[in-house]
Amino acid sequence: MYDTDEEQIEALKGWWQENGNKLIAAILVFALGYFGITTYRSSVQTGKETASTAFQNLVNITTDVDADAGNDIDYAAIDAQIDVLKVEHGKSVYATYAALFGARFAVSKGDLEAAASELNWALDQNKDPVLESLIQLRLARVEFARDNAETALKLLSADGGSQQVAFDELRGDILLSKGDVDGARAAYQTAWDAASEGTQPRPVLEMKLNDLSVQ
Amino acid sequence: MLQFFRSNAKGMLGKVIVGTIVVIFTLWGANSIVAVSVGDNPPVSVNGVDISEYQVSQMIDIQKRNIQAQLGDAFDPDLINDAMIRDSVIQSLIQQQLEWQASNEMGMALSDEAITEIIVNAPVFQLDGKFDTDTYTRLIGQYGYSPKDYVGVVRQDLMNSQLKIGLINTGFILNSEVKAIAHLEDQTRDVSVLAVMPADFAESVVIEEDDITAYYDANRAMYRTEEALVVDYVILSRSKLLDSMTASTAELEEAYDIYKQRQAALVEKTIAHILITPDNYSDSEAKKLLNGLKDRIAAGESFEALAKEFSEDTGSSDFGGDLGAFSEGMFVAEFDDAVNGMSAAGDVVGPVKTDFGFHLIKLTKLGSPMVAPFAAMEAELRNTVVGRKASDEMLLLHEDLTNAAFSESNLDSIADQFELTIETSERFTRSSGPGFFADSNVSEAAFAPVVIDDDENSEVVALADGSLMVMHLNTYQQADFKPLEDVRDSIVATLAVRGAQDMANNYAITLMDDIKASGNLDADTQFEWTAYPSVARSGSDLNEVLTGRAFAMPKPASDGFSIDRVTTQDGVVSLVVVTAVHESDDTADVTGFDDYLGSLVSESEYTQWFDGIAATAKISYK
Repeated sequence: MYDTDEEQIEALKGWWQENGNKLIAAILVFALGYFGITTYRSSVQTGKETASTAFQNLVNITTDVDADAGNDIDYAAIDAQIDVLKVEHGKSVYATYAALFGARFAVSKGDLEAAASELNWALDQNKDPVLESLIQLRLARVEFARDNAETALKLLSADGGSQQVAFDELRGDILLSKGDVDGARAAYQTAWDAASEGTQPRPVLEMKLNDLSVQ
Repeated sequence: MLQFFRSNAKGMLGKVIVGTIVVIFTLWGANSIVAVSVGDNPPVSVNGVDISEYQVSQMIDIQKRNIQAQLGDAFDPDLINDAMIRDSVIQSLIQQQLEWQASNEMGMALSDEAITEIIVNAPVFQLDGKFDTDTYTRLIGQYGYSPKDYVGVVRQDLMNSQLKIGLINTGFILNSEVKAIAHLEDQTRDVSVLAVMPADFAESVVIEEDDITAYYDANRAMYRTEEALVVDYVILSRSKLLDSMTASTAELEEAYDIYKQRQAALVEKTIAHILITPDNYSDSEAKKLLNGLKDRIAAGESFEALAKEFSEDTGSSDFGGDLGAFSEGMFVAEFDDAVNGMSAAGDVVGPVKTDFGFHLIKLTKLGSPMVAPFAAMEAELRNTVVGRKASDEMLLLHEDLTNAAFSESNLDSIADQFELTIETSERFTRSSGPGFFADSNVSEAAFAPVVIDDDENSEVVALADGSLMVMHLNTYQQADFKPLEDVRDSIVATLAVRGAQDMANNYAITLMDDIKASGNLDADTQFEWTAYPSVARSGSDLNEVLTGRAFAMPKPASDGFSIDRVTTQDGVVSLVVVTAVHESDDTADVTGFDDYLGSLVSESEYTQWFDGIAATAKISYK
């Protein structure tokens, strides 16, 4: 190709003057990108772990509640820890769990309005499709108990996913409370037919369905 | 009241326990682990993640200890076979894997500090109230875990616990729900029952001769008899041969030497290692590093300190590389070979290459062998030597006997040649016979065509005690059917019961039709109505089946009734009538009931959630 070494060196020099800066820039971009991604990944992981630890602290407080049933519940400590998770780790699934805990303790205090607002918060934050129907179900139960039958029915009109049996059973309860016996029976029957494909015994559903039996 | 639910409480989810794996150790004492063989073929994969044969064997072992701990002295290892628990173990491993994948998917995580804290604070790993490295490595080693694996298992277990806590412990039951269910549960009904007894129709049943022959023809298969044999046989007894054998002094001494070697191999070894993985070093760098460490140890530096500084086995490095007691098969073959090559405490070998990287291995402790003196062992050694010689002799005789049995057409000359006596068996079949004629290898040889059809000697059969037997046909009886006379009585009895049942059914159907048509319960009948006022869902005098039916029947109009017919397992045909339904006055005590209903709700929610996960998972069995 080249007659002498000098010519070859000249050619290389020429190439370097033309492309050298581009090459250095490419290497820099790549190095920074790689560094950025690893740093980002490790900070995401650290964020998850911090949320996990905060959740574990909440669990420890609530486990004490479960162990000393009947003792006074330290709602203040629980609420404070739930707030830590919701405020500092709002996007984490642990914050969703915290809100679900909030709903549980609101129910045990008899404050159904607070329970509904915790569940609505959880529903807004949650991104997991399987968890979605579980939260909808709990919210619909609370709304029905608050005499908001229409709100509950609207929630239940969504696809119940893996919780469809419980969706139909609750729909039956609501229709019965409105005096629609035939509608309730049909809803219970739908739930019962789907449930009998599973192995789980459902004595309550069976009792509700049998109580509406016709000749 | 409410009893119905408490007695039906099954499959309730208990409280979620944080770190259940740690609990395994607190419940079950440690025996040496059954050596588990590592297969290459994973039995199942979950969304592309393999569950290994090793994990399955390990979990089966843990389950067996669980059962053993529950049964105590009543535990009989023969009653538990691996196949029985294998399926449920695989199912639970799949469930754990699915939960684990779901928790990662949902963005859950757990820091190393949290795991270390759990392990260090587990009472089972503590000695005098403080975490003890030796106890830790020994215990987890006995369950087949390396420290690195164990940390992984605890991580998975803790995260699965967090997941379940998030889904289950956040569940609730509302007061209005408890009240509504209690209201239904406390309902009572006024019931009347009329029992039609088949026995009352027994005398009216007429059985025709044609019915009997028709039944016999239709059920011939039930009356089949097996083919049967009587054989002549000779037995070459192993115990007689054993009595004629002796052992020389030289042979006994040789056996004693072998015994001593075997005892020496059983000595307990405690080991530690330094691991350099290919993650951070090339092969040659790893070897160079380890050879350098080996020189420093030879020069007097502490292996433990170097393990802490350099070892990349995160599970053991903090503990000076300690792996606890060594047992064959616990680690990979190359590792085992290296350990077996060491004979004195303090020995260090390596670098040893395995799939995990390069190891430097130290024999930290060596027990002393237990060797009994010759005099104490003499009788046992004699048995061993004589037994082995008899077995060798038996092998030669087996060949001679096989040749003789094949070339001769009867037993006489065989009996002469081997000085045996010809005996005659009792009658036996393929499925049963007296003594060793019940053994399947004996009956298979006896019922072979060569014996039954060709009238030749059977092949030589080895009995359970090591003796050899040859058989020859004496009498053969073909398979057949029992004649009708022999089974006539049992057929008549069967037809009588069936006929009475049919008559009772028809009577009850007609009576129910009459009652429905007339609209009152005054129909003329030889049977009597029994009244059960205010029957509760459970705990009343009325039996469970009829109670269940009474509560599933339509509610009667006022002054009316609803009626149904039920045949119970004892053949009794009952007419069940509900005349009134009493709704609850809602004064029942619901204490405890809410907890139970709450757990039912949580159980349902979690099971359904899990089914949702499992429905979209790719689970493939191999």
